Amino acid sequence: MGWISNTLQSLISGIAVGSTYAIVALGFTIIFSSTEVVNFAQGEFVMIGAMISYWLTYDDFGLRWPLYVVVPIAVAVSAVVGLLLGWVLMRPRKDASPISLIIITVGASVLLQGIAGNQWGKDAVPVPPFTAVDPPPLDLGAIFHNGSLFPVSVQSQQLWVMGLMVLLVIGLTLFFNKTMVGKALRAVAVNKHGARLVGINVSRLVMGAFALSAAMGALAGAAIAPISTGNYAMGAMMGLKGFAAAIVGGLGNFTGSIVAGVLLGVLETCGAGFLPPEFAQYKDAFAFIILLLVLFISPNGIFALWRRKKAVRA
Amino acid sequence: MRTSLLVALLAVFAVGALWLGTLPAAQAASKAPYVIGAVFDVTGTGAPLGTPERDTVLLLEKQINAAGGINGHPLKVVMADNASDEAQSVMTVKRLIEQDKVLAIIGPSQTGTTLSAAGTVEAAHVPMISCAAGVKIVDPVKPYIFKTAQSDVHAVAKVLDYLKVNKLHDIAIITVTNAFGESGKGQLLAQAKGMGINIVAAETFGATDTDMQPQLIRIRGTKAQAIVCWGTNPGPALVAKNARQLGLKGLIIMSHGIANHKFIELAGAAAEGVVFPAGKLLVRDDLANTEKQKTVLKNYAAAFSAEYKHEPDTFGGHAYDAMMVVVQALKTAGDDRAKLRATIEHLSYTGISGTFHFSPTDHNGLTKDSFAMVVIRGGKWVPLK
Repeated sequence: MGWISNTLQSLISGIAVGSTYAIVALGFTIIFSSTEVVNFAQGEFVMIGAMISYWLTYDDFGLRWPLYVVVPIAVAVSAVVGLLLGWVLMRPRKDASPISLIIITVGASVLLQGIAGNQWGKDAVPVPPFTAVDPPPLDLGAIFHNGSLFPVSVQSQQLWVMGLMVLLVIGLTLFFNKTMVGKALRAVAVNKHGARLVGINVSRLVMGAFALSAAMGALAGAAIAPISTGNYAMGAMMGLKGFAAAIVGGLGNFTGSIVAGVLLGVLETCGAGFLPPEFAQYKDAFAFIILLLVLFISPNGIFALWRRKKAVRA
Repeated sequence: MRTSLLVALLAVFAVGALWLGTLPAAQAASKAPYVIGAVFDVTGTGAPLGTPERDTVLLLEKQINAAGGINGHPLKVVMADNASDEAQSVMTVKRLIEQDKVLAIIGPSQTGTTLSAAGTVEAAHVPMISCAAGVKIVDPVKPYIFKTAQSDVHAVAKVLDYLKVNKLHDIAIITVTNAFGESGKGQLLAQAKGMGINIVAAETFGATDTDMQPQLIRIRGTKAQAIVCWGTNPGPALVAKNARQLGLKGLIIMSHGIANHKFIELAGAAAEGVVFPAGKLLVRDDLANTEKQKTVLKNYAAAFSAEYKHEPDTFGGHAYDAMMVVVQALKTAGDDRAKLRATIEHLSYTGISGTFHFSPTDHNGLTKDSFAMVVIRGGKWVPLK
């Protein structure tokens, strides 16, 4: 029965990692829908969240602030950086092509990474978990049986990551469906000119979208870093994985991003666990192999495939 | 109009020439400086190694010149950074040799950056003393290349000795897939047989991986009594954390790659009980007073902490040894590269990493006794036995 418990163990760590990919993918989606720009600095917000959490909690800086103060600060700082980036992108002439704006985001990514490397050094840094005590090993078997059939150990931080993802998704759904600002953002996504005609301030909203996705990225960073450790360059890989998830989910597709993000995380850990040991080192490549496969089969994401079938049947 | 411009230009040149002319005259009082090059992986992935190495060399340069230089010759170090990049390492070394005309080169910091520069250095007949660990640097012996970091051969031998003494015969190994981890893995596989130790699982992880649970789950399913992990931060810290989280209670042994406080910080409670081979700098206060190294270690640590306000580490120690080997050789050989090389090849010197006995067949000159086995207890390094 060992394999069941091993699979469950891999699933949990996969879902936790995948939740962060999902949050990053959502960030891509929010910005892409309102601007048609793929923001390659998205991963850097994760890095900012992780590194500021480290900075304000560890002794190097002389501060040992509690996390419930530090994490909101990290999120706020990142939101301001996002706002600035949005502002910069709104500056060029309005007819600037998305490609030139995308290059600006690549530049911003390199710049942010450079600043972080200077400020916090190149070494990996520890980030404290939100809660210090881990829950006792979970035993799914114990429900049916009084032995330890499928023991699974979960870090409290993994629960935090998954919980935060769920809360974010609920919050965003409410935001986009119930609030005026959220609805206006959706209007911008559907038709920018139309939105402008009905009196929506598009550039201000776009800056808001950047701030929102930056804040989300930072939250994901502060949440995952206690598990993965943080470093100045972590944003690049996070951004690429989140981007892969966003594409696999169909760029601009809200639900698709979430499902694809979690899926990528699970495939990565399970792939590393079930393929022969020699393949474990190619873990980072799994996301991109899947990305390529999806692009070959269904360039508009896996959900487009499903929808197309449904359309054909109807 | 044109003549006045000409006169002005001439005047500028004249003043410039005069000013330049006075410089050598002022220095002629002492002898010509000995110029050596230092190239470290100061930025990029090797930064945690290259930074303390650079700091150590700058500190030594200051100390040596304050004490009157080498036989009256001031010492000049040309400092360079290869950005942890193998191609850039070659370019940097070329520049030091061709433009700066250095007598010898100290560094680089990592096995990859050292090996890539080796050909250039050999062709130019410039002695180079690397601070990297990989045994390939000195095996086979290359006439002009030396190194001061202990070879992984010795670290692995020390670890296997420890396993044998403690009757742990079945082990799992988990290694990082870069030059450091691959070299360690090769040595573990090669030496274990002769020691009667079975490797029941051989797992690997990528240098930037953040989750080692899948590999450790597989190890959990074997009869391994101990896990040997060969890597540099942050991988090993995650291995320790994930292993404890998965309920693996066996002994965890790591390489000398975790010989810094960062590992304890990153692994937190999971660092407790981890055993690893370390240079003696880490446990200098616990050494017997009869050990020849003790004074060298304590003096270096005191000077480094005074200058930089933090503790030195093993990597800085490798640079200390590399620099002092060159300085010792310069004392007898003077500014002749070939003589310098021949002198280093027969040098015996006691430094940070141990007592070196260089020879034409051994360009590292250390044995496994340059390591001490250390356990982490209460967030501190405690020497074993």
